[in-house]
Amino acid sequence: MDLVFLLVVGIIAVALIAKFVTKEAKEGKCASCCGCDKANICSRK
Amino acid sequence: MKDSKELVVALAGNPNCGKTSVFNNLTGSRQHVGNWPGVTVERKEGTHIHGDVALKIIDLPGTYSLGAYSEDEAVARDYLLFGQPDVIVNIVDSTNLARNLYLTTQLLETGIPVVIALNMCDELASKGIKINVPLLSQLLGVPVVQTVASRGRGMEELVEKTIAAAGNPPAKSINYGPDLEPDLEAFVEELKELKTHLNPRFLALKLLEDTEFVKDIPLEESEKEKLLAIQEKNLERMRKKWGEGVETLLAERRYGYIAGMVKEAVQEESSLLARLSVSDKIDRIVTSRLFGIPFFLLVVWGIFQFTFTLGDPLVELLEGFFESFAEAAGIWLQNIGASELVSSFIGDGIIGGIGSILVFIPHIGLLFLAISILEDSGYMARAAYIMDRFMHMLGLHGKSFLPLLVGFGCNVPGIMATRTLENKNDRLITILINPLMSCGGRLPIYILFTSALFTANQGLVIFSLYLLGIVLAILMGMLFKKFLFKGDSAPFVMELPPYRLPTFKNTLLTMWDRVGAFIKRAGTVIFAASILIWFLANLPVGVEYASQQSLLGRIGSLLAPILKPAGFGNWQAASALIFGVVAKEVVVSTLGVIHGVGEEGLVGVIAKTWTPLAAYSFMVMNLLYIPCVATIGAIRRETNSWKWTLFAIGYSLALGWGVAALIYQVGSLLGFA
Repeated sequence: MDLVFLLVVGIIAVALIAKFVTKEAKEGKCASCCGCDKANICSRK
Repeated sequence: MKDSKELVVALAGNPNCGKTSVFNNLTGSRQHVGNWPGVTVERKEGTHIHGDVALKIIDLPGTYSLGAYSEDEAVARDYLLFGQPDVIVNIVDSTNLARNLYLTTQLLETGIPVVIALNMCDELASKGIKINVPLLSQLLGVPVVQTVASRGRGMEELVEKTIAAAGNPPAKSINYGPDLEPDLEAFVEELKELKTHLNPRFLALKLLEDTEFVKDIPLEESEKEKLLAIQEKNLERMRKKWGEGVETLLAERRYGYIAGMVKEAVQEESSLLARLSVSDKIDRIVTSRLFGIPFFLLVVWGIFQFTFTLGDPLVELLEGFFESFAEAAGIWLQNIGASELVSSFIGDGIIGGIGSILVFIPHIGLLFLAISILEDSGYMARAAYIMDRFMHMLGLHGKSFLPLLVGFGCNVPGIMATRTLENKNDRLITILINPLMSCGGRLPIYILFTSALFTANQGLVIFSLYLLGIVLAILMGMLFKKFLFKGDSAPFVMELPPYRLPTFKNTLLTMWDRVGAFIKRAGTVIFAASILIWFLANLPVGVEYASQQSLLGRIGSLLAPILKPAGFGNWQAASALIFGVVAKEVVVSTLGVIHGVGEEGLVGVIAKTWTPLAAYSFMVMNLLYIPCVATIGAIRRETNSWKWTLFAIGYSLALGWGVAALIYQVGSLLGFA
């Protein structure tokens, strides 16, 4: 049971990281700062 | 007009004239407004509804002319010339009329309807300047509206005049004098045969000024050939008469026209005392050769003192909250009969991981509040000016310092901001050194370790890390310039905007944007990374949680020996560094997941298990080693080269390890270990 729980959690974590990181890297979005997605210097715009 | 119900309005003007403020006012948007040139490097769109008319507003990067000397200028020029807006709203800094009107004269020549927003009118009185607005409007042949965009004044009138101007091209054009005009007219006549939407007179002038411009015009091949032939013929004729300097001659005539117009419409108090504005007086001290750099350092040091003095009590409160929350969650999970693993998942994985990051919200908020005030006041432009002189002494381009300043917030927009650099080599160097600037993501790491081990000198230690980043960025820039990108830097004149009182709304909005983004990040990438780390800390099944035998411990143990010379050769630090590449804040959440946020708190654990020297060396490593994934993505995109992206990763890793090891070894020799 523990193994199943761990595996589910692990797969979800990897999928989420892949999703968020790919989004950030592709879109040049790094939200920890000045809200660069709000700034006019973000290439996504 | 494209449609009676919709107008496309382009906002154009010199850098730092307030375009983004006008845009925000009209569209209700919250674009980042900074009091230094280059905040807008790409165009932005928004909508303003006025009665039954929808205005599609396009905010363009600042440009001094319709030349295209840098990429952001090219964005503005191309949109104005080829985007076919219905009206151009030319935002003009009314305190600097003569310089701003150069672009205006070129805009008038495009034949597109123009409305002038005479911005920052509230600063005129303090500078002893009076503008005769009706006369200026008459001389330019277009409507002129007085505005104070930062306070929303004059916006209604601006919108009304803009709607009225649609379909009405400028009534006047510059007369280049009886000697030049006949040649110009002959050129214009020939151009009228071409199938292009560009105004023939504008096209003639542009082709005289920029012989390469023809390449940028979207024309059929046959039309392009015809245009080239006309250009060559007329250029030859005019060069015979005027020599090679036709471009200079046109610029001189424009400046002459502007000087005359300013003389007619502007009254300036002539006494020296009146002209020496408050800004000038302040600048005499803060940008002086003697006091400039010490004052800059004092300001940065002051920011950190402010951040920690006010932030520490709030952080303690949040820490208490998360401890109680973890405790309550533990009791609740026990009551509902959750397994030990699920309890650990909630307590150690989620609350431990995210909680260890969220406790730093007060520090992040206060730091960015202080930076926002500096940006808004105009001091940041002075900081760049001071560093410009310093960087020129080192053979670097002074303009590079602006993207580096942006990098303090986040390296990604810092790298984007290098688009303002005309010279490709300067741009590449600035991209490569930008990750050495200490971004907001590294701050939680510094706060954690200084809170644990440098309580008496917290501000000073963090200040030293920021400074180390700047110094190393300059040194690496020099090295790259000397060995990789030889050549002279383009000259750069730093524009110094007048000091302004930061507006309460803008300052708070900027701070909230940054704090909000930080919280959002905690809920996305940091949350996911914390779960992954918890997962690795529990494998293989049955292993003691977060022990060296866990998968997390084994991964960290592989790297730990390499880190030993730098003073942090333990698997916990190594794991944190590995996952820190995902996002720098994950370094803290990794340690949070490993150690938990129990009674002692993460700060307490760090205080017991680390020495100050090893902690300092670890913070230096975090400052310098491999940029985060988002920054790597930005480097790849902006350099368009995997070679330079891998180089940025490789050199920063070597530099991080080298400097951290040096600090630890020298510190140990001096007895600090």
